[in-house]
Formats: sequence, structure tokens, C-alpha cells
Amino acid sequence: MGAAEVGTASSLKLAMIVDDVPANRMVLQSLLKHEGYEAVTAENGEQAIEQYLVHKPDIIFMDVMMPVMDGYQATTRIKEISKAQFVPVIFLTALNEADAMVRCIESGGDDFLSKPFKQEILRAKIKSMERIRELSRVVEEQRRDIEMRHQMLLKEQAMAQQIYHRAVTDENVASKYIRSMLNSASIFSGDMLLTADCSDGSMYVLLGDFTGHGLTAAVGVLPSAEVFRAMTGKGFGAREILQTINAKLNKLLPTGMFLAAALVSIEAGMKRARIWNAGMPEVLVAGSPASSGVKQRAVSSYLPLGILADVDLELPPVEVELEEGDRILMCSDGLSEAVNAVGEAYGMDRYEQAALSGADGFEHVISDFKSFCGSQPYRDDVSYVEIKCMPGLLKGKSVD
Amino acid sequence: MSINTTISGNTVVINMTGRFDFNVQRDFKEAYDPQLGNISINTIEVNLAGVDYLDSSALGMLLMLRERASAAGKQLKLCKPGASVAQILEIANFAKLFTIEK
Repeated sequence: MGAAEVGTASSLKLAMIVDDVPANRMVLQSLLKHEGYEAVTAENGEQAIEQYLVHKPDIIFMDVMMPVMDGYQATTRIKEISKAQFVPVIFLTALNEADAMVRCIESGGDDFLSKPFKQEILRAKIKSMERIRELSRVVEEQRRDIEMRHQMLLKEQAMAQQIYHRAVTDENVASKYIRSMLNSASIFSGDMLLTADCSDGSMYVLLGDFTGHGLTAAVGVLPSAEVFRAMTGKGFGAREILQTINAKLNKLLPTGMFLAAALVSIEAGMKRARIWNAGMPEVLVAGSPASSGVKQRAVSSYLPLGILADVDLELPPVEVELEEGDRILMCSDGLSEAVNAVGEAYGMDRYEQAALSGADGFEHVISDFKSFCGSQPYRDDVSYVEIKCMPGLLKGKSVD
Repeated sequence: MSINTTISGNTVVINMTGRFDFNVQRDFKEAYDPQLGNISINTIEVNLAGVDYLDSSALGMLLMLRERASAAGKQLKLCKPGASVAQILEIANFAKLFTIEK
């Protein structure tokens, strides 16, 4: 084995010759020198693998029949090790056996060179391999580049999402009586939950769902949240708040994008709630205990927000007398429309049943929903909110 | 989803079948676009009879068509929605914006 002294700083390209006949190695080594290649050599397949790992040659010339390990096995192993990096393997054969040629290709070989070696043919084969090698290098480089950019994009989006959520949700009321699940189909969610205590002791809860999902659906969240915060802070009524969000979104969003929203206002003293539903699935008010069923439903009776410059909100909202223990339940259509492995939708009936059974309706809906969907990915953002009317829900005076 | 268009008299009917969602955005637009400038057409009907699912982006596409049709001076009708599609249109209160024929 003539492990040549290979200067790593050398500008020469490096070939590996694997052949058990010393004369063949020498001839090929000298021919390769003319093509600008230095060569390391190996006497059998096993040495070839060792040499490959040490020297990482640019091209390999491989004899077929050798003691210890033949050229087929060595080629297969080297191709496994080199993976994405293209290392051309040229088999040294007599080229008269079809079966042998097929085996060469199947084991991972790229071309053949027949003995006796001729300089012009060797040159042509090397050129062709260099071309493929360059192509594969470029492809691999581009693949890595795309992968890196993709990772960067995901990282940026995750960061933006964090900042953005802080801006929207950190202002929300922290109460153990308001529980929510918001699952997004992608990093950004087009569903939003806004809650606020008002100066007069009442509370507003808004669950919204923008058209579509992902970043394009999420662009409307920030301006809507701003309007909601500013106006609940100044004591505006629900109708004015919805009208203002509508006008702002109509100006901001392109045609075809809108916000379905349900707004619940709970009066100071917690005696009564008003529910405005503009394009959301039914809002349910469940009595206590859960077995007493649904005491009120608020179906969608207004257009979603952002479609018309001036939305008609003249119809009065659904009003409900509250008692301690009542639960107000809201969900987005991502919940009812989520499908299981066989394409069946979760549906409003199943949701209602889950919400009304079990000691803890909220947890029950979530576990029921998750076991229904299994590992199916969400096609849309999914949200579910429960407001439990208990003393302490409102910041102001609670129910006596 | 497949879309085909038939013309009878002054009316063009866009027949939709299957899932009406984000994936058909382009095909849907291509189906109505040439009709907007067609002076012999005064009514565009979207036949929803074969649609089994319609999502919010489809509602958005209908809103876009509504705007374009109105600018072109054409009548627009949504026709024969099945039960589940009718429910989605109802939740969105689209009867306030569209003529919906059962």
C-alpha cells in the first residue's frame, strides 16, 4: 500500500486507486498525475474504506475482484458514508460482462474504465465526473442554504409571535374563572382572545377569528386589540367598540379578509350578560350544575367585522340573567370543523355534549376534542373559552 | 374541487363541486374573471349544490367576487347551497350581502 505523502495544503486534486495488482496502481497513478491528480492507493476494499475516511478523495477508481473485501462492498459502504456529498466511483473492469456492469451500478458505482487504461478516455471520464460533482456540490449548497433560511424564518416568526402575544395577551385579565385554549395551525394565530375590566366594574371578553390562518390572518390582531383596550378603558359600550373595530378593519384589511367575533359583556354585579355574535359559532350559557343544560344560546346575528364600512349593529344583543356558577362558552369554527383521521368533523353537537358533562366541563371539552382529533394536524386555528360566573370574576363589586 | 362554467342567455353559472377553500382561489378567479368584461352577461350565479365544505377563505373569495361583480354592473346570486354550506352562510349572515337562492 503506497500511502502517498499527501500534502493537505496541496492544490492538487486527490484520487484514490483501489486495486490489488501493484502494476495497475502504478500505471493509473502516473496517468492521473497528467490530469492534475495526486493519488492515494489501497489494495482491497477494507483498506479503501480506511483510506477514504482519512483522505476524503475527490474521485475513486475501484477494481472489482480483490481479496479481503471486493469493490462492490467497498463502494456501497463508501457511498453510505459520503451521503449527500457526491464521491464518484469509477470501476476498473474488462467491460465484457453485462452482469458485472449491472452489479457495479447497483452497488453505487458511477462509471467504468476498462483496462488497459488510455489517457484520453481517463481524461474524458474525469471531466464528466467533475461536472457531476460540481453540480451535486451546488445542489447540496443550495439545499443547505434553503434549510438555513427556513430555520431563520421560523426563528424570526417565533420571536415576532412572542413579542406580539405579549402586546396582546399580557394586557388580558388574569382570572382563574376565565380559562382558554388557543391552538394555532401555524406559528401565528388568527384567533384572538381579549379581556378587560372596565372602570364601571363590568367586564368585556372578545373572542375573534380572522379569515384564514398564519401571518396573514394575524395582521389584524394588533389594531383590533388596540381599539379594544383604548375603548374599554374609556368606558365605551359594546356596540361602539364593535363599530370602531369594524371601521378600522374595513380600512385596513383587503376585500375578502374579515373578523368573526363574539363579544360578551358582563354587567357590574354579575347579574346580567349581553352577547354580541358576529359570525362566530353559537355562544352557549350553561347553567349550574352542568346537567341543568344550556340556558341561553347566542347565534350569530351580525355580519363579521371589516366587510362593510358601516356595519349594522342595530339588532339588540342576546341578554341573559346570570346566576352564580353559570358558564359562558365560546369557540372558534376551527374547533367544530376540526377533523379526525377518517375526515369526520368534531361538530357543535359533540362539543356541546362534552361541555355539559363531567365535573369540569372545560377540561372535559379539551380532552374530548384532543382524543377525537388524535394526531391529525389542525387545519385552522382552534380556540375555546370558558367564563365561569363566580364571585371574584369581576374586579369591582361581586354578586352579593 | 372542480369548477366548470355554463352560459345560458344572459346568465353565467359557475358550478362548484367538492371543497371550496383556499386551494381553489386561483381557479375560482379564473372562472369568473373573463365574464366580468362580457357585455352579453348580466348575471353571475355561483352554484354551490355540489360543495360539501366551505371555509372562511371561500367566504372571502365570494366577497371579492361581490366587489368585482358590482363594479362591473353584474347581478350576483349564490344558488342551491346544501345544508352544511347554508349553515356557514347563515352564521356569517351573508344573506345581508348576497342574494341566496335555495
